Amino acid sequence: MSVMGIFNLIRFELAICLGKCALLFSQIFRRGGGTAVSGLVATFIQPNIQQQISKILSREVIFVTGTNGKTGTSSLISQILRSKIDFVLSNSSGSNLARGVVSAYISSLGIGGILKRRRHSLASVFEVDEAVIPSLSSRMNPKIQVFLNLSRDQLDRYGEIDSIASSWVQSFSSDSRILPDALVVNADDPKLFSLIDVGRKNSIRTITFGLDDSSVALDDSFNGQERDYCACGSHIRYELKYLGQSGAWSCSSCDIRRPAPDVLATKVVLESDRSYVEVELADRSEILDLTVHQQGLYSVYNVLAAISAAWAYGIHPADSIDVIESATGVFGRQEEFLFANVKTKIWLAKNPQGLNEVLRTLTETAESPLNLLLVLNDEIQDGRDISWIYDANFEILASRCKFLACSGSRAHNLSLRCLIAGIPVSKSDSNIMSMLNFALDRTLPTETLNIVTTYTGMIEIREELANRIGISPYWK
Amino acid sequence: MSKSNSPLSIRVVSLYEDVLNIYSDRGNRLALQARAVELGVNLDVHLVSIGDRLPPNADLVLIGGGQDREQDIVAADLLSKGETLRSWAVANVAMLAVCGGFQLFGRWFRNSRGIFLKGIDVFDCVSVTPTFDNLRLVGDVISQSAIDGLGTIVGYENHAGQTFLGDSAVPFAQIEIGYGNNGFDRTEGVWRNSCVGTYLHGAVFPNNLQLLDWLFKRAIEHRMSQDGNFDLAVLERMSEYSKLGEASEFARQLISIAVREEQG
Repeated sequence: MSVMGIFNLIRFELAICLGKCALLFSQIFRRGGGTAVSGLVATFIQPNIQQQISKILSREVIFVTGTNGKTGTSSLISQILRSKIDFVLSNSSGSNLARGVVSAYISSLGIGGILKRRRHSLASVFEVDEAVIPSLSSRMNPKIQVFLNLSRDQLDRYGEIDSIASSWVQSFSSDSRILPDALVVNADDPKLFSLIDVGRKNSIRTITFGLDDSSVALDDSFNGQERDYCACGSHIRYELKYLGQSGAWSCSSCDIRRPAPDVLATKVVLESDRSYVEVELADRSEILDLTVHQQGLYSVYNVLAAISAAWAYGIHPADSIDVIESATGVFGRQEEFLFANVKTKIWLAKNPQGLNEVLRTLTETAESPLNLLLVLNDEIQDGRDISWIYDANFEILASRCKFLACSGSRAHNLSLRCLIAGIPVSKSDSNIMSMLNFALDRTLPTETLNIVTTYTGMIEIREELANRIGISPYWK
Repeated sequence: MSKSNSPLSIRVVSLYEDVLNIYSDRGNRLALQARAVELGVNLDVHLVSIGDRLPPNADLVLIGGGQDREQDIVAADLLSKGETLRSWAVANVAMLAVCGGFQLFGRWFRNSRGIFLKGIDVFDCVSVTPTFDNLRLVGDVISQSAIDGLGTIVGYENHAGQTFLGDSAVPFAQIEIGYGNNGFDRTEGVWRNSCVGTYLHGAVFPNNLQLLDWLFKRAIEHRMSQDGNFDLAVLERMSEYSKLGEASEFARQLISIAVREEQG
């Protein structure tokens, strides 16, 4: 080994070691679980640490990206892989910037793990922020890349969404990087079509997934209907639309249309605590019946994406069923807490399409009037610009709530939005804890309190609820 | 959407809402409709998009913002409507043009690829996107409106294009915090007759009900100039207490406080 090589190795070990210390410190002093800070410290000491980690992980890496469903889908993929592989690494707490990947690696090492690093039967599943995908994939060369969907989110950070889509496509044309073995792409989202196209042109195995059931399509009255455009400039037409701009689409002038999905949900039944899905595989090898213990269409898409990703990894969809059926909500995403006979359910929603789907799920599947607490914060992780609430369909809450409370640093904007939608607000206050108590007081035993919140509100409420029922407030 | 065609309704044209809505500018139309309900005014709302014809007349016109691609898509169609919109602007029809729509309501706009799009000359201004860097003007804005009585206007801006006003143009507001039209001259937006161009979303109407009311009043006056039998009690009701007014004022004050605190 050269002097440079030894120097790099020492620097790497030092970076990992100090990162680990930072993690322990932040956990002891309870600074947000320390999921990001350890990666930050390690990256500061060794800037190209991701390449070194990537070598240790021997390219058995899956990246999951998209506007909505990253955490849920990554969690499903990890669980499926865990049923076949000794050790699966993931950034399951949703820390998904470049440093989050490093943090995940560091936290997977035990105290003594700096010495006995695992090198056998290892796979990694990382959810990766939309904007970080180009740089991180050129450094880590993942074997499989999963693209879920793309819609407006945190435009104060990203600028415009078209530039995100083209940066993804361009990341495959860079000469310096090793192309992935497989792409997994949502065929229903026309904004992702260029990825399917680039995958096929580069002879990358491309597995697509989608829906085919008119019973779960949006009706025309659902507002927020926007036009989307094909690369040729003409607008996209829809035979059926499922959520946002996703559906059975075709260009209104050229011959581009939704490719036939390889993993296709042919029947979907949405219920108040679960969904039934019938999945047909392109090779017609099998029709699978699944029960998903999550609500709403996004979770159906997540399941299709996870099955497809595992398939790309070599696990047949039939072998994923057991894991899918036993999976429940993850870290603040439809996660349930039960105490004093009151069920509290946290829904993360931080962009218009995500919130629209949550509101649709709540109003369509609820058996009784809703107990609803909405929380809007404007920290960097939530998105500083809260304009998007005017794109969400609060109008469908009309006469569906037993009570509606608003909270978060932007509670005043939220209650104004509800007022404009003609929805009466029971109470509004920026103090989340006092509104949580207000909402819990008004939720009767055996009823459910639904809390729909942006990211930092979710963290705060989750910690409080976890403390009350005595479980770890952090992702272990 | 259209509720009534009786002479006592205000005709609203919302342009390209299905295309130009990147920062949720349709919130302006929603706020307008909620305010109309509160004031007891009928609105006759026309959603006009690409290929649709403008109605023969209107009292209030709304247009929002979009990305380069969406601006490319609407530019040609907007030009075909340009003459009508210009004549409306001269005839004191109320207008609110936000961000990308504001740029296209000027003389011309050069986008990030260096391509020139012809505007419709409602406003005497030009807009240029620098092609040499990716600088975007993003963040909270607090400004003081040049229009008498409107006072503080708050909002959020996010634009790459920089707008420069011509000699005859009057800025809509002076920037206190934020970038405004171009980040250099502390102007925000433009004001001509009953027309306002601005970079503020948020959406701008809900948090600044006084701006909504000002344009609404102009729209009502325009309707009265067409047929003189409008019930003037509406204008009096505007200054009375209202739930929407209270909530909007509360939001506007909290936003100003929070933004000022952050700026230290």
